[in-house]
Amino acid sequence: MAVIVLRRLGLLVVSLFVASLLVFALLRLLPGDVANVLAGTSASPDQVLRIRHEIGADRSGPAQYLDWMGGVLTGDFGVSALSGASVSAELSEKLTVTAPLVAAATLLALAVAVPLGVLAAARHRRASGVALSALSQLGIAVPTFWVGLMLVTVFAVDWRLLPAGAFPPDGWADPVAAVRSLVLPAVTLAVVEAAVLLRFTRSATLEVLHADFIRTARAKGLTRGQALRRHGIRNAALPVVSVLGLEFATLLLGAVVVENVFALPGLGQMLVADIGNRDLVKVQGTVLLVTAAVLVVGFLIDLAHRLLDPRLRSAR
Amino acid sequence: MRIRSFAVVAVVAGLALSACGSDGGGGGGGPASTGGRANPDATVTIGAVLEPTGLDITRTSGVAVGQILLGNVYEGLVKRDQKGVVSPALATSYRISPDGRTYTFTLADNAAFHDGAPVRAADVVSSLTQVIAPNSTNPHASDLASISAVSSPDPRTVVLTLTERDSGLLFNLTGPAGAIVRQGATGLDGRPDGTGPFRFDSWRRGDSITLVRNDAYRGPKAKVARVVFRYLTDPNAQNNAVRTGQVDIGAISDYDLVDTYRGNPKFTVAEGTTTDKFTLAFNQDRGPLADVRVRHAIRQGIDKDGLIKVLGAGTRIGSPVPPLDPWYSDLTSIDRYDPASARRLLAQAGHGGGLRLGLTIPNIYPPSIGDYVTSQLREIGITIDLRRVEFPAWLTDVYTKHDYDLSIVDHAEARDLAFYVKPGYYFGDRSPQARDLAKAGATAASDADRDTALRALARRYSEDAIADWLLLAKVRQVARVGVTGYPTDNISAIYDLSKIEVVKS
Repeated sequence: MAVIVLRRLGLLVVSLFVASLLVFALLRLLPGDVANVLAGTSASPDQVLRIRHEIGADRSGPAQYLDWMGGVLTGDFGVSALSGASVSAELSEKLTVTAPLVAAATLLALAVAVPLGVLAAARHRRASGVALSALSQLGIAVPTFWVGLMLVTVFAVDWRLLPAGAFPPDGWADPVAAVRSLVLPAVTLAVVEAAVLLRFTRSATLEVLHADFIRTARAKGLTRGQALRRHGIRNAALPVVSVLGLEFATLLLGAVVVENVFALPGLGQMLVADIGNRDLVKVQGTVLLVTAAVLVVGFLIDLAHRLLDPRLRSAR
Repeated sequence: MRIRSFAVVAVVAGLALSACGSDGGGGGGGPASTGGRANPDATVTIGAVLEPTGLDITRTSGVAVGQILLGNVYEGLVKRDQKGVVSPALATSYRISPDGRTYTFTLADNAAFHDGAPVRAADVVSSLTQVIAPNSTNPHASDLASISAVSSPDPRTVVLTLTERDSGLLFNLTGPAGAIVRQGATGLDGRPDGTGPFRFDSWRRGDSITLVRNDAYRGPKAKVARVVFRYLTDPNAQNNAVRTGQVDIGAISDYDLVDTYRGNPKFTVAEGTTTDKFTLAFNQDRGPLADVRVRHAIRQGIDKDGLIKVLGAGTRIGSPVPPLDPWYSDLTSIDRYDPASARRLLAQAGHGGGLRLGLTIPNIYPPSIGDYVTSQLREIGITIDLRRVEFPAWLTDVYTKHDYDLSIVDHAEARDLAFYVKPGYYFGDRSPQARDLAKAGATAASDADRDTALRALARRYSEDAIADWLLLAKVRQVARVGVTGYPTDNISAIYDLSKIEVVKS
C-alpha cells in the first residue's frame, strides 16, 4: 500500500509540473497584453514599453516561467501586474469564500443524494422511486445560474429570509453574516450536484441489487434490506465515489457561475476578472491552485477506492 | 482605460465622466438634503460596477480609481464638480500670467495628509514633476504635457511653467494626473494617503472598498461616517442588492428594471448625463473606409433614434462633444438618417454591388449595439463580419495595432476632442486643418476663442466623417429613500461623496 501511495504521489507531482507548463504556455496565446491594460488609452507607445519593462513582461518566456516556478516552490505566487498585490495573499483570502462554499455544497449534495439514491433504487418500481428519478433528471437539466436566480427571487427578494450573497466586508470576523451569505449559493451549487450523484447512486445500487452475491445473501435468509446494507452499499459506493471525484472539478467550475450570480468575492469571480484584465501572473497562480486541488482530490479518491475495495489493494 | 467604463451596460456608478463645465451649479442632482435629521454615524453603501484594477492613482489607468478617490481621498490643486466647473481645492487661489504660460498657485495653509503631515509645496512639486518626467509611467501623463517645469519659490506657492498656452490645463489638473501625493510616498496601492474629506480604510478585492470620514479635514466635514463601494458586476446582482437593501444607492443598467422602482415609495430614481460617447470608429488608413463617401454612407445608414429606442435611453450627438461642454453645438443634422442617399454614395464609391467590412466590439457592451448596427448596414448593402473580443484584445488589436475596419467602443473621457488628432491615433491620419483647429483651441487666449475653435473642430470631425457618434449614454441611479445628496451627473470619473446624507431612522 505504501509503495502505491508513494507512486501515486510521484505521479501527482509530475502532473502538476506538466500542468504548470501548459497553463503558462496556453495563457500566453491569449490576445491582449496587461501592459496595454495598465497604460489605458491615453498613454504613449513609449510609456507602454516602459510599463512592460517595469512589470517584467518584456523578458523571455522561459525566464518568466522559471522565475514564477521558483517562487511557487517556496509558496510565493508572485505579484499582480495590475495592482502589485501579493497573489498568495489574495488567493488565501479568496479561499476563505470558495473553500467553505464548495465544501458545504459537496456535503449537502452527499447528504441528500446518497439516501435518496438508495431509496430510489429500492423503490424503482414504485411511484416514489420513479418520482425521485424524474426529479433528479430535472435537477441535472436546469442551469446553475437559473437555480441561483430563482432562489434569490424567492428567498432573498420576496421573503427576505436570507441575503442574496453579500459576504460581509470583514469576512469571517462576522461568522453569522458570513454563513448566512453562503447558504443560498451553497444550495444552488448542491442542487445540480445532488441530482447527478442521486442518479449514480441509484443506478449503482440497482446494479448491485441484481448482483449474484445479493441473491446468494438472500438465499441464506437475509432480507433485501439486510443484504443491501451488509454487502450492497460498499460495492455500490465505488462508482459513486469515482463520480464524486470527477464532479469536484465541475463543482469548482460551478462556483465561478454561482459567485457571479451572488456577487461573492471568491476564487471564481477573481479568475474571471483577472482573465479579463490579462493579469496572467494571477491567473496562472489561480489555475495552478485549482488544478492542484482537482489532482489531490483524484489522488484521495484513488486511495478511497483501495480502502473500500480490498481487491484493488494488491493491484499495481 | 477610461474607454472601458462604458455605461449602458453595466454601469454602476458607472458611466460617464465628468463633463465640462459651463453653467455653475453644484454637482449633485439627487434629492436635496432633508435638513437637520441627518445621522452623522451612518454608513452608506454604494453599488458600483467597475472595480479599479489598482488603487495607486499615479499608476492606474481607467476611470474607476478616480471615481472613488478623486476629491474624496485625493485632492488636486483645483477640483471640478459633477458638471465640470473648476474651483480651488488644495490651492486657495491661483493666478495666470497674461501670456498664459505661468500659473501661480497659493496653497491652503492648513491642509494635511491623512497621517497628519502638513501639505508642503514640495509635495506638490514632486507629485507633478513625477507625472511630467520623461520616464513617467503615469497613464495620464499626456494630460499635463504642456507643463515644462514645476517650482516653488516659497513653501506656500507653486509655479507651473508651460511651453505654450493650454486652455485645458486647469480642467486636466482636476483629474488623476493632478492628484497630490506625499513626497516620497510608496505603497500607494495598498494605502492611498491623500488630503481629502475621506480616508482610505480597506479594500477587499473583488468585493468592496471602504472609506471613512477624515475628521481632521480642513473644510466642511463629510456627513456620513463610512462609505462602502460594493462592486457588483452582474446586473441582476446589482438589482437584487438595491431591492434587498444591501446597497443604499445603485446604478440600474436595465431600463425596464428602472421602471419597476418608479412610484415605489421606498426608492428614488435619479437620471444623469454622462460623457460616454458610443463611437463607431472608421479605420481611415486602409481599405474602403479611406474613402470619405463610404464613411458618410455608413453614417447616413444608421438610424440613431432607433438604437436609442433599442437600448432604452441615450441622447443623440452629432460629434464627440456632449451638451454640457461649453463648445457644444448641435451637429446631428450632418448625415441625417437617409438609407437611399447612403446607397447612392456607396454606388458612387464603386461599391454598388455590395461591400464587406469587419466590425470589432469589446464584449463588455450590450450585444444589441453590434446587432443593430449590423442589421442597419445590411439594409444599405454592407455585410458586416461581427467580432466580439475581450477588452484587452481590443486594446491590442484595434487601439494599438489598428487592425480593424469598423469598431464600436465607449469613449468615456470628458473633453477628449483633441485626442482624435494625436499622431498615430487609431482612427487614422487626421487632416492638417483638424490639427490646426485643435491646436488653436488648446492655445486659445480666451474662453470665447477656445470655444470657437473647438466648435469648428467638432464640425470638421463630423463633416470629415472620422467616426459616427451613435449615442451619449445616460445613467440611472436608484437610492433608498432617506439617502440624499449623492451625485447624479458624470459619476464615472468623479463621485463626490461629501454631500451625501442619511436620515436618522
